[in-house]
Amino acid sequence: MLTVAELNAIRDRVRKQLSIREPHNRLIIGVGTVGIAAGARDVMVTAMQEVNARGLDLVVVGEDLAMPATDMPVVKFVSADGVEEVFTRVSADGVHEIIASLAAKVGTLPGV
Amino acid sequence: MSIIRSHVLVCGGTGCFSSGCKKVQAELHAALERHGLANEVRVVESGCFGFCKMGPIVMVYPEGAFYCQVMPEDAEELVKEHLLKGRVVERLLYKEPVTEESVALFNDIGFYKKQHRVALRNCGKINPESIEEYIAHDGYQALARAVTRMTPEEVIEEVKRSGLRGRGGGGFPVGRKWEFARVSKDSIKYVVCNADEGDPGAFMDRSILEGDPHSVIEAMAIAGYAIGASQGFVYVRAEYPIAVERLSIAIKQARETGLLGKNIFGTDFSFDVGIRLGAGAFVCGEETALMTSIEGHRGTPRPRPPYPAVKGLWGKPTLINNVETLANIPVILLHGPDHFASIGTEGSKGTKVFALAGNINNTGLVEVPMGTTLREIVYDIGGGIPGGKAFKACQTGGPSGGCLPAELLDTPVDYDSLIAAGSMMGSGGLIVMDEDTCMVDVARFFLEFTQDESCGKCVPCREGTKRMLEILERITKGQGEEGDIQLLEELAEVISKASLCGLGQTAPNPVLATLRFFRHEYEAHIRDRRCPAGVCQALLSYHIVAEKCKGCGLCKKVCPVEAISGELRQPHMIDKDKCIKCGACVAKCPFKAISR
Ligand SMILES: Cc1cc2nc3c(=O)[nH]c(=O)nc-3n(C[C@H](O)[C@H](O)[C@H](O)COP(=O)(O)O)c2cc1C
Repeated sequence: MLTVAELNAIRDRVRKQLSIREPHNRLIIGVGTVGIAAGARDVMVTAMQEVNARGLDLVVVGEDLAMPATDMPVVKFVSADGVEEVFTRVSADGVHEIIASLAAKVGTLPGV
Repeated sequence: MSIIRSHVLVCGGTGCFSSGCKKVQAELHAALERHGLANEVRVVESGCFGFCKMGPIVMVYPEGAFYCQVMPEDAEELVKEHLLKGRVVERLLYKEPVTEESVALFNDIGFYKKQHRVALRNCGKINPESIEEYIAHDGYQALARAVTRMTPEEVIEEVKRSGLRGRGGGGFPVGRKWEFARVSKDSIKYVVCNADEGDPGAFMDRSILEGDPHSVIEAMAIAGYAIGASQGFVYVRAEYPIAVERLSIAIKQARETGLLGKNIFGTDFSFDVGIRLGAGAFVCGEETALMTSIEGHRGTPRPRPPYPAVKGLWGKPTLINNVETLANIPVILLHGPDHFASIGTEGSKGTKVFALAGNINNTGLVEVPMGTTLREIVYDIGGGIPGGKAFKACQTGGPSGGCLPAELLDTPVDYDSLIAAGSMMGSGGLIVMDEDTCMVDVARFFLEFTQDESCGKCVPCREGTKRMLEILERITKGQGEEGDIQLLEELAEVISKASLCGLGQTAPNPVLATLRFFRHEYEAHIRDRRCPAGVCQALLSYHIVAEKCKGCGLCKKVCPVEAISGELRQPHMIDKDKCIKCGACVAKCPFKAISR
């Protein structure tokens, strides 16, 4: 037998996994060829782990951002209401700080 | 630990299945492995997106990029460019037919912009084989609310207030039908979902079962609670193997989760669902024939009354609703009847799904608010008629329906307006016809279908449709006689009045509707031995217009029976005795010099 509370718990847990399909806030990592050469893949993997660990309402997206090569790796935050913030020459360590600074703004997913 | 950052949804509906989606999925998996992304990107098989002409369809999240006609060999580029380097692959995006512009996002595509997806809300959005994904989209919340917080009467009241009418063709108010079944006194009652879907070209119900089977199961359980039934059956044609498989998986998952079975949500309400396979006879969609078939007999109709709500399956009160009707139920209970009733028109609430087919750029499934005009469906959503041809008519209501001409393109699509205009809503087939369509031939096609599908139990349908078909065949063969039109009308009247079930009662409709709007075409066939649209072969006579012919010889080359002769750069000739009227010469002639 399933209770209503258990049904709601499944809903909230799976919603978290499916937030990718209806993203609110996005953290875009510049993963074009130049970005990857500058270490964007590491930044991306770290960002994914950090966002996941904190259960944030934030989706990590790879995009070929048009920015000067000297700025790479680039990370761009786009909030649900369209406000943007750009971070340049981000290291895998640096992305922890960025995410920490965004945590309050984006909040956590339901059920977290 | 793998953390997923992207979902790649590959449509696994019947349309995309036939265009090779399984191979695309396999190649996507292989490419993700090659690029070390298998732990970051999940490939999910989804239900139908509705845009079947563009299949196989692949949707990449979080961007929501919508890729069309993706071939297995495109998988490598999709993974390397989009999923690794974040570059949308332009060449695989949808291009609007008129502007030729690429559109990246699903919601920006003309085909989807004017749609309002209620019954299809989860199709293409979730993995239909995952009960958890359905639950994440508020699945089974409506059932929870109904059985734990509402009385059966309150559930029926909400369904009544929503104004929902049956989507299977009749348009009967759903709440009233539920009430009839509720007040029927019996300790055993049944809920039946009609998934027979016999209209040629219609696939709305198949898509819902393939893309969102739990919505139907949840609705059946709600219906069971409302009328006091503990057993439901889905009657689905065996020709829908993917739908049957997904439904079976969904029922199994619902039982395992405790959403079907005994004491649902800890209450004393118990409900289970079984599947009964039909053999694909059109008449078995008719509710009394359907029940006879479930009972294990040959599917033939029986007279009504008694209606199924009083005396149905095995003589017990039975509620029968269509798949699309049921798919709306959880939304009504979840968002409220007033919200549902705010969509649509005064007499037709909510949305309707149509299978858009025929001479139209965007074929597929479309769901629009009731009251949307035919013009909006044909031009804004359907992208208009291919090849710059003119619109001639559209057929709604399947074999029981009618054809509406261009003058009626602004008719709002709702139950009452379509009937007033001379057609009907039916279950949702919408076939668009261009200037090259012969309306007599269209009527003949539908009558051939109903004649073939007539079960033979009653004389008016069995014999009457045969006689009507014979007359139509004569007319299209150039052997029509004065008086044929009157004879058709008389037969139509008798058949529609005297037939036992809806099949016969509505079988003459395509003839009557084409007579109403295109009578001149019948007259041209009978009196002038001419098919104005150039379709009926027996009435065609090909000849080359000497003034236009440049003597290029292309027609001569393409003619399969060597009926064309002539010297190079001299006007050619067609030997009418040899000509088989295949039309190959007309299609080939660059100077439009061949008339028929
Ligand atoms: C010949 C014939 C075929 C029918 N086929 C279907 C069908 O395939 N699916 C369907 O839901 N209703 C079909 N119907 C209508 C059903 O008899 C019945 O009215 C319907 O299933 C009731 O569900 P609803 O009230 O939700 O529309 C058919 C009716 C006739 C006369």
